[in-house]
Amino acid sequence: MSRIHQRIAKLLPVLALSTFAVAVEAQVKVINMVPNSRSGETQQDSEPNVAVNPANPQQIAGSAFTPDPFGGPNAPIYVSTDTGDTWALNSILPGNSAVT
Amino acid sequence: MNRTVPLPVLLSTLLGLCLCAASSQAAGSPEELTRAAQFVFRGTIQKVEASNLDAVPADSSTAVVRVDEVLKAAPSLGDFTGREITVKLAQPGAATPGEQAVFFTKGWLAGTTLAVVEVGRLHGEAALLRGQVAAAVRQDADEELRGRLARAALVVAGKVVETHPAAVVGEVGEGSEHDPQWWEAVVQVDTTFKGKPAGQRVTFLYPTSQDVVWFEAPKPRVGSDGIWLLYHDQLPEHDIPGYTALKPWNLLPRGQSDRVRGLIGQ
Repeated sequence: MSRIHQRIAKLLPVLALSTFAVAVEAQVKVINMVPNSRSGETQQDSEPNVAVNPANPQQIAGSAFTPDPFGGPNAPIYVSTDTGDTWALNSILPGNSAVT
Repeated sequence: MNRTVPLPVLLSTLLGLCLCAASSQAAGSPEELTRAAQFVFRGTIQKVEASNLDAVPADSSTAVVRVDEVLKAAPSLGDFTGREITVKLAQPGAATPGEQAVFFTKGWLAGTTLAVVEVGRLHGEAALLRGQVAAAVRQDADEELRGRLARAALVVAGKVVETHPAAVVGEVGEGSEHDPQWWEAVVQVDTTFKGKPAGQRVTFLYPTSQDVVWFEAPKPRVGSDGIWLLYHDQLPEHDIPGYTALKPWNLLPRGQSDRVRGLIGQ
């Protein structure tokens, strides 16, 4: 095998690995954070925020201007424990309204 | 030394324990439990020591319950009739598959389904319990409306005959995404429930903005008709001139006239 062919042969695994890494990075999963049981809700859910637990990326918390689905005084946070595949609303944040 | 417990004492103790067991499931009347609960339903226990929500591990305090009939729920919750939810029992182990009851619960999680926390459970004739819960819900709604009517400066019924931009300058979100974008609506009054309108027509401010702060406010158009609860102080920290209608309940259907009249005390 010529020197050029040898160099190409050495580079091929690197090129293959790079291509695979790029392909993996290009995969983006789009998830609707609104839980299944809340499908059809018509709230604005505006100003969302998302935070991932750096120690356990499977745990994700989100927030938005979403009212308590049970009609209570607390505001919910969005919680996922499976890397965002499924979500639940947990109404634990004290909230209030400035308008009577 | 041998000691024996007198039978009356033993029976009283056992009876007390039994009552305690019953009362821990239903610590209150249907009215009290309805007020303490956010989600009240007639249901049938499907499985005990079970959960149908991944976020709630199954243990002796959880049960899967089918919702047979919803008796009290926030309108935004949707209809869960016929669906199975997870209930965290007030008393672990106090549930039997097939058991039918009215469950008084507080909201906990809304995921693929609901998880709720039991505050009470009542067994009895379905129609009777349904009526008692409905009466409590109505009473609470009346108390809430009575408070709003008491705080209103003017309560009138009429039809909107004109709307136009309002020349209101204030600090209520002005210049930001929360700018209410005030408009005025003019109502041709045909009935006055409370207050003394200056004339046959009343003008009030409303926000046309669909921003998260304002999107639920009434958006009257020419022809909009109903009972208007108008306030001077819905935003007490801001000096807004005139009357305002900023919440969905500032407009009630005409059909509520008798109810409004009764609650105001006319």
